[in-house]
Amino acid sequence: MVSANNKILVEVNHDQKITAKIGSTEFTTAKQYDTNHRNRNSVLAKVVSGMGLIKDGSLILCHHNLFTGEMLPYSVTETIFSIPFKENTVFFELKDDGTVLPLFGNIVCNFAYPKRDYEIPIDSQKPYIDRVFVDGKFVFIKPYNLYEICYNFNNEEKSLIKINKSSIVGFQK
Amino acid sequence: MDIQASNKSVWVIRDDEVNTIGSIIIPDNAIKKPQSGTIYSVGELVEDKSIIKGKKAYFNQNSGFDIEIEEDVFTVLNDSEILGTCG
Repeated sequence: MVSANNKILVEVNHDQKITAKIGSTEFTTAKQYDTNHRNRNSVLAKVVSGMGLIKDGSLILCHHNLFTGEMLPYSVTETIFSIPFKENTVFFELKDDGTVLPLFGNIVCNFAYPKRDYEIPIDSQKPYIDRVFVDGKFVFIKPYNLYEICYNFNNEEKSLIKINKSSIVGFQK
Repeated sequence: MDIQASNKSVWVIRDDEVNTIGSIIIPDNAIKKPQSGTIYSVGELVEDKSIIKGKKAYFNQNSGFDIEIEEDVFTVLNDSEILGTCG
């Protein structure tokens, strides 16, 4: 079987977030009950038929709502999905060494936090909604256009922040 | 901080709010946001040649969004949201 209409066939392991390695210890997590869908849902998929758009067998990071029960239009079987290969569905290609290769103008960035006269724990700080750090410089974006993707690679929990090139409105010179 | 606009965005510094009419002070909830401002920076994909840095731009009161940088407030607009320029 091959996909049609600029779609690619991917295989998804729905148990990908059930175990995680922290340090050298492997834990069974309760991610499937998490209320945060970015934490809970599967995002990592293996390309079965890339249709010349992407190499077969490569690993890709996708939007967190693609492989859930609500996205039935894309579901072929329980583990095989036919998804559109475009900027708001597929974000990164994951290399064998764990590094990511951005696709469709996505950019990996870091949260920017407001400067304070006093220090508070990083978990209690709220990042800016309209700017991020890229290579040590501020990049200004449309409000709330940053996206955090959480994935497990080799049983290790990882997360990264990304923006899309089209959401950038300005940058620090 | 020196800022450069990107894509089709236009950064504008809004004109000061008018909070008096003659000697009458307008209450805060009746003050309208100014619909004009000075263009601060223009993105590289803006095609309209009349949108130039330093010119006065007119736009809808609720267009765009504000970004605060070191006590300066900029209004970021899409180029299509600019109704006219002068100056």
